[in-house]
This record gives sequence, C-alpha cells and structure tokens, in this order.
Amino acid sequence: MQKGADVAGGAALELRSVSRRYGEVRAVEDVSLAVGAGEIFCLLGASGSGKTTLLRLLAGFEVPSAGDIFIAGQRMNDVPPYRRPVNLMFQQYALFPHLTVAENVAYGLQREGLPRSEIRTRVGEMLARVALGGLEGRLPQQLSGGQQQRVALARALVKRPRLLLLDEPLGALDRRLREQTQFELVNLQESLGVTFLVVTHDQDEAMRLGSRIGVMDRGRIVQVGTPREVYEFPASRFVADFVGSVNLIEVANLVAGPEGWRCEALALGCRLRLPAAPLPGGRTPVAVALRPEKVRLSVASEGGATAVENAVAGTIEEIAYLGDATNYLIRTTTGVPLRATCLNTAHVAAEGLRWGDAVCCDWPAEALVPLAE
Amino acid sequence: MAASPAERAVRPLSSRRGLAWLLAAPLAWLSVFLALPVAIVFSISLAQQTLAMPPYTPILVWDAAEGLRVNVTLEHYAFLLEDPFYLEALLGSLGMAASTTLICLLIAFPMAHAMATAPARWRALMLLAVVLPFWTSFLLRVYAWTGLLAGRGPINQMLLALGLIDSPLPLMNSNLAVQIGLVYTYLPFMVLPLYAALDRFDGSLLEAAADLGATPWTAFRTVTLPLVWPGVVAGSALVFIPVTGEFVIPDLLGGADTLMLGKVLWEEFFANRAWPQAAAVAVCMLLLVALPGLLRAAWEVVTELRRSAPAPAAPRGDR
Amino acid sequence: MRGALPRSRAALLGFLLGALFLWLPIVSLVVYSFNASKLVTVWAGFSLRWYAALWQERALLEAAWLSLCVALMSALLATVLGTLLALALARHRRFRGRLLVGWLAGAPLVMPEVLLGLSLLLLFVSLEQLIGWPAGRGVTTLVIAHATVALAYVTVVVSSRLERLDPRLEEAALDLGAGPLAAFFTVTLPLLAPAVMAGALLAFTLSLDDLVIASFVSGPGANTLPMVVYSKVRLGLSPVVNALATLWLAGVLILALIAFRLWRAARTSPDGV
Repeated sequence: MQKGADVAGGAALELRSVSRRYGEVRAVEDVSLAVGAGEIFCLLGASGSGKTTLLRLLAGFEVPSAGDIFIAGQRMNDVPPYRRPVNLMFQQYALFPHLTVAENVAYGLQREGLPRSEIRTRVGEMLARVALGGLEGRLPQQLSGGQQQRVALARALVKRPRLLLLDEPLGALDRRLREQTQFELVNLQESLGVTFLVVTHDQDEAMRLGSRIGVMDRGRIVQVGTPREVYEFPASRFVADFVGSVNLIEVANLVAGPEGWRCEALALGCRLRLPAAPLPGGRTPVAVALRPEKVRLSVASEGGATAVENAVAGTIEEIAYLGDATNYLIRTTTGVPLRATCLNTAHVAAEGLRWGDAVCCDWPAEALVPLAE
Repeated sequence: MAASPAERAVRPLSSRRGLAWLLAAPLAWLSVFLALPVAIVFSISLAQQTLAMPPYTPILVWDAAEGLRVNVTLEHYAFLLEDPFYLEALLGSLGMAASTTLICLLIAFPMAHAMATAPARWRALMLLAVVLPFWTSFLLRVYAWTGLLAGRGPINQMLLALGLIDSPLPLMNSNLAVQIGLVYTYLPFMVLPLYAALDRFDGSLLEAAADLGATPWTAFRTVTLPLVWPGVVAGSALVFIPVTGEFVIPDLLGGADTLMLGKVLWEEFFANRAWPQAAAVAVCMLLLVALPGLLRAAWEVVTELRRSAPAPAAPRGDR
Repeated sequence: MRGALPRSRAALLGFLLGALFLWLPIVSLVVYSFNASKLVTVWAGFSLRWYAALWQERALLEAAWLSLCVALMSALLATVLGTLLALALARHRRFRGRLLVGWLAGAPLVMPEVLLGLSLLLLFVSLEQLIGWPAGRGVTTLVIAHATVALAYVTVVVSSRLERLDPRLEEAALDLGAGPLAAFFTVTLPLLAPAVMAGALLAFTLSLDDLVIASFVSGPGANTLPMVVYSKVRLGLSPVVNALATLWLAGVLILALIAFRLWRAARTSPDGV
C-alpha cells in the first residue's frame, strides 16, 4: 500500500532547520522537512529519538528554539495550539472521561462556536464514518480499546484539520486489531484527503501506513524516503539496523572497477563485489548492508569453498522456524555470525537444514548496499 | 519557575503570574491566620501575667522617658520545669498517645486486612461501617461512652447479671475509660491508611516469597510490612498527634488523676485565666508534637524538589 | 496482573469485632433515645418524649442553626482557598518558598486542636487591640478559624486528585481549539469536581463537629451546637442529647446513602476510583 509522494502538490507542512533544546539536551536538532498534502508521513524512531517532541512542536505544545514551522504556508511558531489548523490524536487517546462519545467528538466543534444543528450533523456523520453509530451516549471507559481509538480519531478529524498528527495511533491495540485498524486508517485518510503525520516506534507500522518514512535518531532526521527506499537503500548503518533485520559487514581495500567496487570483508574472510551505483557525494563505502532474506543457503559441497566472491562457508548455529519463513544464524569459518532467512515456499514435512549442518552462503552483488557511514 | 514560552501560552496558570494569582489569596490567609498566630503565641508566652483583660502585659512598651522597651520574661517556661505537674502531664499525654497508637494498630490491622481481601461488593459496605462512625459527631460518640461505662450502665449491669462481679465497677472517670474513648475515637484514622496501603499491595508478592522459601511469618515481616509501612506511619501519625493534644476525652471520661497536656492547657486558659502560662504550654506542645511532623513534611518537600530537579519540561510519556 | 492477598478468617473475625466496637456505642445512643425513663441507664419502655423535649430546647436549636451557618460559610471559604492552593502546588513544582507554603498548608493537619484554638484566639485578641478588628468574637472569628483548619484538608484532597489527573487531557482540549480558560473550565474543573466536593464535605463536617477550637474563638452569644451539647453533657447524662444524636446519625446516614449512590454512578467513570 504505497502511494506516490506528492510533494509538488503544495506542502501541507514545512519545517526549516527546526531545533528544540532543553538546556544542554537537544531533543530536536536542525530538522528540515516538507510533507505534501494528502501524504501519510511516518516519523519512525526509537523512544528518546525526539519524534514526540517534534510532534508537540507541530501541535503547538512546544516552541522551537530555532527554525520555522509552516503549516499550509503559514508560519506557526507563535501560534498557540488552539489556533492551529492541526489536530493531534494523542497516544492513549486522552479522551475526556467525563464526556460521552458524542460530547467528546463535539467538543472541538463547540469551541468553534458552530450552530448546534451543524455540530449534531457533523458529529453524526463522523461517528458513522468510524463505525461508532449507536455508541454516542457511552462514556469512553465503557468502550473497548479499538472503539476508544476510533473516538479519538473522530474527535480529531471532525475539526477538518489540514494536518492530523497521530502519536503512536496503534500502539495501544493488540496485534490482530492493529492490522485491521491500519487498513481502516489508510482508507479513511484516502477518502478525507487529510494529510497524516504519524509518529511511531514500530517499523512495521511505519512501512504499512506511510507513503514516506522519516527515520529519526538523536533529534535528527537521518533519512527520508518511501518505505522501499528506506528498506532497500538505507543511508547509514543506523537506518539499516533500525529498519528490519540486517547483516552489517565492514569493508576495506576498495578498488573501483568497471562493474562496481571490489573489496574485502575481513571479518567474514571473503571478497565482495558491490553494485555499480555511486554513493551520494561520491563517498566511498565503509560498510555494506545485507538483508538476511537475500542470502541463499545451500548444503556445502564436498571440497570446501566454492565461489570466490560474495560467498562464505559456515555451520548452522541457530534455527528459528516462524511458519512462513525460517531464520538461520550461521557461524562462518572466521567465527563471525551471519543471518539468513529462507521463505518456506515448499509444503514439506521434513526439516531441510539442521543444526550443525555445514552450509554455503552466497548472494548477488545487487543485494549488497554500500554504506558511507 | 522557568516556564517555556509555549507553556506560558498554553497554560496561563503555569506562568509566574498565574502562580501569583493562585497563591495570593491562600498565602495571605495562611500567613495571617496561621503563621502570625503561632508567632503571637510564642510572644505571649514571654509576656507577664496581669489581672487585666487580656491578662498579659504588652511585650513592647513605649515609654516617653526610655523609648521603646522590650518587656519579656522566661518565668512561664521556668515554671514548666519547676512544677512536676507539667512533666507528669507531658508524660501522661505521651504515654496515652503511645498506648492508643499501639492498640489502634493491633485492632486496625486485621480490620484493614479483612477489608482489603473482601469481595468487591462487600468492600463498600465495610468501608462505610468504618467511616460512618467517623462522620458522626465526635462529641456524641464520646458521650455514648459516658452512658455505657456509667456505674449503672449497660456494661456493669451485664457483668452483674452474669455474676462476674458483685458490685458495679468504677469504670467512669478513670484512665481506663480515657483509653477506651481514645481508641474508639481514633480507630478509623488508623484503619483507613492501612486499608489504602493493603489495597495497593500485590498479593502475588507473597506467593513469590513463599516460592522462594519464606514462611508466612517471614513473608509478612520481610515483604508485607515494608511495603505497607507508609500506611502504618501515616495511621500512627494521624492517631498519635491529635491524642497528645486531646482535651474532650480526658475531660469527659477521665478522673482527677488523668493528666494530659491538652486538658492542662485548657484549664490554664479557661479556669486559671493564665494566658501566658497556657501559651508556654502551647509552645512546648508545638515543639514536641508538631516538630517531627513539620520536619517530615519538609523532608518530603525536599525529596520532591530533588526528584523534580533534573526535570526539563520533557514531554511526559504515558502515566 | 496483581495477585490478591490471601483471605484470612482471623482477620474477618477481627473486622467484625472491630465493627461491633465501633457501632455498639452508637446503637446504645439510639436505643436509649427512645427510653421513657429520665435515667439514661434504665430501660423503662418506648417513648418519643425526648424528641418532643428536644424541640423545646431553644438553646440547642439556635446553636444548631448557628453551627450550620458557620459550617457552610467556612466550608465555602476553605474550598475556594484550598483549591487555589492545590492548583498552585500542583502546577508549580519549583518556586522559591514552595517549602514554606507546603509547611503552612500542612501545619493544621499536624497541630493539636487546643493549639490551633489558642493561637487563633490570641491572634484575634491582639488584632482587636491593634486595629479594632474583629470587634469581639462570634460568627466571624468562628468562620475564620474553621476555614483555616479546613483549608489544609481541602488542599490535601484536591492535590491528590490533581496529581492523578492526566495533563494530556487539558492539552487535548487546547488542541481541539479551547483557549486556556475554556480548557480549564470545560475539562480540568469538571474532572476535579468530585475531589472539590469531597473536600467541601470534609470541611463542612469538621466545622460542624468542632468543639475545641470553637470554645476558644467564639464569644458570648455565639454558641455552636457542640458547645451547647458539651455544657449539657458535662452536667451528666441527658436523654435529650441521645435524641439529638439519633437525629444527627439519621442525617449522616441519609447523606452517606446519597453519596454512596453518586459514587456508584460515578464508578463507571474512569477517573473515579
């Protein structure tokens, strides 16, 4: 479910070198970002990476120490939260416990001073849209987690914001409900055309929801791209490691050739051939990323090492059978572990590879992603 | 208070001006009607007794010849030390407070335990059973004991009917009556904090202790007690402190030999009209009773400050 | 998941005995209020004569009215001041003098009543000497004294609620377009209301029940109900007092029943607890 990023269609949100510091602590540091109208942009980061602070900067609960925030072309730095065309869906929802579902949803419209009849229609429409019709009179604590989540969503969306901020929108739901809700969220976003900015620590969620992902680390946005770009072409070791599972291989002795680089992976004790794609800024790689599912495993033939490049021999040390796939940990001959994932496409009762088997691992040159940092 | 500009815009009550608005009225009130009175008590305890109304001489005297003169005396404090009566009253008060606290603790713990372990639908009722007497007039409940303990009251009549005694016991106007009255009155103050502490207590910790080889008594001593200790301390303070200054119960149930500070202060003030002497007793009582409490409160504020010290206005996560 | 404490029969027995101990004197008060005999200790058949007699006691009735007025006024004052103080302490974790304010606010909780009564009386006497106010002692001084003590209780009750209040609720209101004042009045205050009510009720009861402080700070002509009851009780047992106690208890029971109903209704609300 990836949609093309439409940044050209007018930026719903633009950040210019925004920083937020608390004394010595740099919660958000020099963040520049443009989010196009109609996008679902996911900010992905570990806790403490500054993503929540960034969200609060956008909602207006924090003021930037430096830089400018533009929402729909208007500078927002000094605008208090209650005058911003932005709404926030809080983590754990922050539903008003003393108000019913309908009153919760109507709250924001009442603040706008809209006529009663209009409020009633808009609340009714919105509740029907999130499938909460009939629950208007309930109090939030009488609802299930999924229902509470939809009330929070309705309460924020009924204001027709230019930009909806969602703080870990699926974090409080259990796994099964989370997958279903992800689809609902995307459908709702598509039909309303509101720009979503989602903050999450869950890479799965970011990949499923986001038309683009921004990965945050220590207050900075370290990479922005579509889920495919971020996964297949991570910009740094941090991103490669944070998004998905990866083998990070340090490289040395680079030689540029016509078909790409050749180099040595000293730890693995093998030579590597890298794809020809140049690195941004013409920098040379210091490491490569190799996704486990791109490693091919085969039973080692008698006689030892086979291929010269992009291959290594080892023994299977751990096996984790996951149903759709199996994860292997291979101890290579140099003693360095290598992870490999094989899809269980064939329906067979017998186990294939076993613990202690000698195997040969190899991978195509395109599977290697050169990393400059 | 270093509120960020955003906080100032978002929460006007969080700004310095907001603080001034919030604090002005209550702080003025407490300064005039709480801090100032204590200061006045202190100063009057240094004044001299006279026969006028009010029955003490001014501390500061303006004299045309000598200018401003300070007129203070320590004689009331000296008298507290000289007359063994006051020391006895002090010891009587502290003894009564200690025994009352201990007895309340012994009665309240099983009660609180039973409440904390009762099925949910019974809890509200049990809570009411403990709280309702507490909401009923204190004076009337003490009065009830004067009837129960009277020479021909129900307790003596029952004992007589059972043949356990030949003549009515002199229950009233004794230290025993005072002790019963004190325990009776202050029991809810002990039950409620203990119940709150036990209610928060996670019973699976006891299972863990048992699993690790603790006998029930060891588990109680090493797991339950340390975790409900704050409740024990709170309950004990709520009983001990007011009992030390208690007046009504020793007055209504006690006899001539019942000596307690609260009663002494009352009689100095109302019966003897010795205001400076009463003030001196009050200052001693304040030092003895309120000081540990105030120190504790101060300590709590200090720890709280320390805890919140490295607190950048970092967004609060989930609770 | 929290485990339950193991139940104990001994503790249950302890509870029943304790409850019996708490209620026996109250039951005896009620029973003897219907006693025909003037001797409180001897049962001489059922009668309502002491209720009729109570109705004739002008001093008691006047004192009851005065007590109610004082309790209402002091509870109102204490609730407003205590809530302000709780807000100040909750919203401002650090300011110079917070320690002192905390001390002041907590002091009445740890000061014996005789101390509070004596110090307030000495204040009123000194103030009257200095600035001529308050002229004499009576309702004004009673209200001030009771409000001062109750203020501390209200602050404690409201503070504990404020501490458990989710700060994000107010932020949610701001995010939805409520200005700071609107957010306070539409979200914070309604959520605080149960605690404020509880504090007010506590202040009311404390005032109604107080004998010691009132004896110090009240003046001639302003006798509260506990003061009148006390002077009667000192003279010995009086069935009229039993009748009064029974009526009082009935009032408390009715109030408790209403509060219990409200609590049950509010229990479905999450912030309850």
